[in-house]
Amino acid sequence: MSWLPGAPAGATLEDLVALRPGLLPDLHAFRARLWSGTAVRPATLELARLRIAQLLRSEAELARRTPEARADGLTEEKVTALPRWVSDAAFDGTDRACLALAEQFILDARGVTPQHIDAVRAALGDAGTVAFTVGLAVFEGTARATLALGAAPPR
Amino acid sequence: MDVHPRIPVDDLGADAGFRGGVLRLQPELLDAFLRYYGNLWSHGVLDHATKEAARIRNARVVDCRWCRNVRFAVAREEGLTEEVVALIDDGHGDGALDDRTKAVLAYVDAFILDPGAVPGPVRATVLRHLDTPQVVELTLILGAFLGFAKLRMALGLEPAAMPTRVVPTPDVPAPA
Repeated sequence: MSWLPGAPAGATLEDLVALRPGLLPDLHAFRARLWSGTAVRPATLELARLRIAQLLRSEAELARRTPEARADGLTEEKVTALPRWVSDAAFDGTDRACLALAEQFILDARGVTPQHIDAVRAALGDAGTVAFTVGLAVFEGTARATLALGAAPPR
Repeated sequence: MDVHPRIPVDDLGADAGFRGGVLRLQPELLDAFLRYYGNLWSHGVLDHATKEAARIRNARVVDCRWCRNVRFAVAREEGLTEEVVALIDDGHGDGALDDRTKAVLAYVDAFILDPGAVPGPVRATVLRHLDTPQVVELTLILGAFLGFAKLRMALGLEPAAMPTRVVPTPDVPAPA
């Protein structure tokens, strides 16, 4: 639970963000653009988001599912297989290129190589790579915020 | 500026700031981010100098060459001089910074090192100086600092070297 004075019991990150006046609309607009307006498949973004949540151990983010990703066909079976993305047949070349970049981004962004980026560019194109990398930045920031603030999983 | 983006662009623009670089391949996404980021910076509940101190500490810990060499203008106007910035380094808790800044920087370090284990004393100390909306704002802007510093590294948007310079503080973009 959150350690912030005045935070409601069981506060999610959304609840906590609402305690900072005037921010939620712009945050929602930014997220909506990332998930629906960049031509990167939401299922691809969601795999990265959840892998980042696993690596950072954000239970709140792990418990959440993005509606756009569900609509894009991401199954719970594939999410369950995520820790085995390197070898599991459920993951294709695009998945592996994107997840390789996501993991390196989290573990050590300075260790991201041109080869990491080129593999994602081959899968998503240049504009898609930009959107995907913005997604990584957002997903890491969000997962860390849930942890630092003690946000609860969604109800 | 000596920048080698990993996604080729025909014209990097005047600098490697977000608008001039590869992020313009996603103009609407960039605009939405700049609205959110500008809101955090310029329409918030926490003073600029505190946010700037947090940004610089993040920049130094994660070693973002661009981030650590820019200074946002309003914080400079609020009195965050280079003499103070020089104190935002390892050992900041034992130096001449004021107690409020020390509390914030301790929180920044915990956010970067292990956000799921922010020590109780760090929480308690930051709450002596910041109220809940301010802590929320600080945490969210830290997420942006860290994430987008890493984005610069990943996409090759850092210069090999650059002089320290003052740039406009982010604000919500004007309507087109």
